Amino acid sequence: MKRTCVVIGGGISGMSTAILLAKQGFDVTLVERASRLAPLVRGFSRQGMHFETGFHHTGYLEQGEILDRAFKVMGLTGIESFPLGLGSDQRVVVDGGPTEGYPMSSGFVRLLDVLGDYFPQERSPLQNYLNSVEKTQNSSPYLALDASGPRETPYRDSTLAEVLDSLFTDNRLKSILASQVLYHGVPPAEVSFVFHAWVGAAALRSLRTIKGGGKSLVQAFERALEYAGVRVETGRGVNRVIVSPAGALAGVCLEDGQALETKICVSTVHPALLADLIPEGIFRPAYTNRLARLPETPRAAMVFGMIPTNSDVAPGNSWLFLEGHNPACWFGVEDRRGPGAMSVMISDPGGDNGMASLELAACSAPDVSKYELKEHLIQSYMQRLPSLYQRTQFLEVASPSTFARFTNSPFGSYYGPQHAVGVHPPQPRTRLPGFYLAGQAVVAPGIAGAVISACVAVDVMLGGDTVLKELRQC
Amino acid sequence: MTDQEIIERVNAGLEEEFEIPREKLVPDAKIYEELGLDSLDAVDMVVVLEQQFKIKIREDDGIQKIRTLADLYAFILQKVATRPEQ
Repeated sequence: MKRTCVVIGGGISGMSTAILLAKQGFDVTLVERASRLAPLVRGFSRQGMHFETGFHHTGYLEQGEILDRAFKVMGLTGIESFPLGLGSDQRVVVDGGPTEGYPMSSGFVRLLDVLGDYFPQERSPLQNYLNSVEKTQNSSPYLALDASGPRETPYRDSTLAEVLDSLFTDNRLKSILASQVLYHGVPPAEVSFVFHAWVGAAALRSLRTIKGGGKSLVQAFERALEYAGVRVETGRGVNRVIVSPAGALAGVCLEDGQALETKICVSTVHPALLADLIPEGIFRPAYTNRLARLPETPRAAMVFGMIPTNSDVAPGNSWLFLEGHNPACWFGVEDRRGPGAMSVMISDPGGDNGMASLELAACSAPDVSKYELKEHLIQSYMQRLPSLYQRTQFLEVASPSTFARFTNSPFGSYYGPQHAVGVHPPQPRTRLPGFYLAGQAVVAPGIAGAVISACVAVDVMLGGDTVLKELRQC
Repeated sequence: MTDQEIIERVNAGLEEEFEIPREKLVPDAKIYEELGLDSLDAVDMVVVLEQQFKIKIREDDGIQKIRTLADLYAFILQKVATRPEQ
C-alpha cells in the first residue's frame, strides 16, 4: 500500500513538495485554504485585465539552471520563458543619478559593460563584486548543479553592506547594487553577502519571465499535480494536526471537521502559525517561541491600474525609485509619509485591447490604511512619472492586511521571516516524527527559494539526496 | 551579574523553555543522555542563550564539545565575561 502524505499550503513550495512526493510513490493530498491554488503567484483579474501580485520575473530559469531543471523533474509543461531584453532592463532611479535611472541589466558581462560605462572609476571593483557573486552562487549545491571541484565563498563572514563599503566609493552605485535586497527583504547591514548573492543578486546572473506570467506558471503546476496524481483540496484549511496519545503524527483535522489520516505531513505555512496547528506539549516552548519571534520582512503594499500601451509604455518596462541612499528608509519606516522605495511595473494583461496592467509596489508600516497607501503611492508615482500618471486608471489597492488574508500570513509581509545574520531559520525536520517544514522561511524567498525548499524537504524526509541526484542528472 | 546568578538564569531557561524539571538540573547532568535534549534542540538552545545573555554563539565557538551542564555553565560564563560592552 502507498504511504500517504498531506501537504499543508498550496503555494509554490507546497505544490512542488506534493509533486515531488507523488513522483516518489506517495499518495499525496495537498490542502489549501484559499479557493484556488497559489493565489499570490496567480494574481487576480479586474475588468478583464490580469494583475500580478507575486511574480514578474525570476532568476535561475536559464536552460540547465535549477528552476529549469526542477520544472522538468516535476513534469511542468507549457512554460514558455524568455530573457528580459535590452529594452526591458529595470531602470533604477537614485538620488544624484540621471532622472531616467540606470539600466539594471542581467548577465554579469552585460551588467559590467553597462554600469561600467556609467561608473568608469568603479569598473574594477564592480568586476570584483560580480565575480564574487558568481563564485558564491556556484558554491551552492542547488544553484550550481554541475559544479565540481572546490566551492569558493568569498566574503563568507561579511554582510552585504560591509562588502559594498569595502569595494565602492560612489553612493549611487552602492545603492543600485544594494537595491536588490528588495528581492529578499533584509537590509544590507543585516544580510550576509552569501545569502544576498544567492537570492537578491540572482538577477545579476540571469533574469527570465514567463509568457502569461504567474497565472500560466500556476496553471503549469496544476497540470503537473493532476498528472502526478496529487489529490488537491482547495477551500479547505487545516485546523490542527492530530497526534496520537503515544506522541505520533496521526493526521490532520480540517476546518470543516473532516480528518485526514496520515503519518507524514509537510507544512509550508508561515512558521508563526505552527503554534496553533500543533497540539501543546509536542514542541518545546523554546522552539515555538523561536518560530513566533523570527523577524519579519517588510509589509507589502500595492496599487493596481491600467494604462494604454504606446512607444514609451510596453509590458516588461519597470522602474525602481529609491529615496535617499539609506537602505533602512527603502523599507518604509513607521513615521514616513511616502514610500521609501517604490517599483513601477508594466505587465502583460494577456488581452488584446491595447492596454497594459500597471503595478506599483512599496513597503508599508503594518497599520496604514488602504486609503493612505493609495495616496502615498499614487502621489509618488505622479511626481516620478507624470506623463504615465496622466494616462493611468487606478483600479485596486492592497494593504498589508489584504496580503495577510490573501496569503494566509499573519503579517502580510513580502517574504515571510527574514533570513538575516544571526537569525536561525527553521529546519525541515521537527521534533514530531513525520512532520516536516518547507517554504521560503526554511530556505529562501522567491520562486527558486520555494522550489529548492521543497527539494530539500523531500530529500531530508527520504534520508538521502534522491531529488538532488535527479536534478543533477536532468 | 555574579556567576551564580548566571547559572541560575541558565537553569531557569532550561526549565521554562525546555521543560526540564528543576531537580534534574545538576552540574554533572549529561545534556543529551540525561536531560533528554537532542540535536534538534541545539539550535533552540543557542537562540535562548543568545537572547538571555545578549551574546553571539558561533558554530566554531566549541559549543559542540559541551556534554554536561557544568560544561554549559563554563561556556556561558566565559561568553558573558568576554562579550563586547553594550
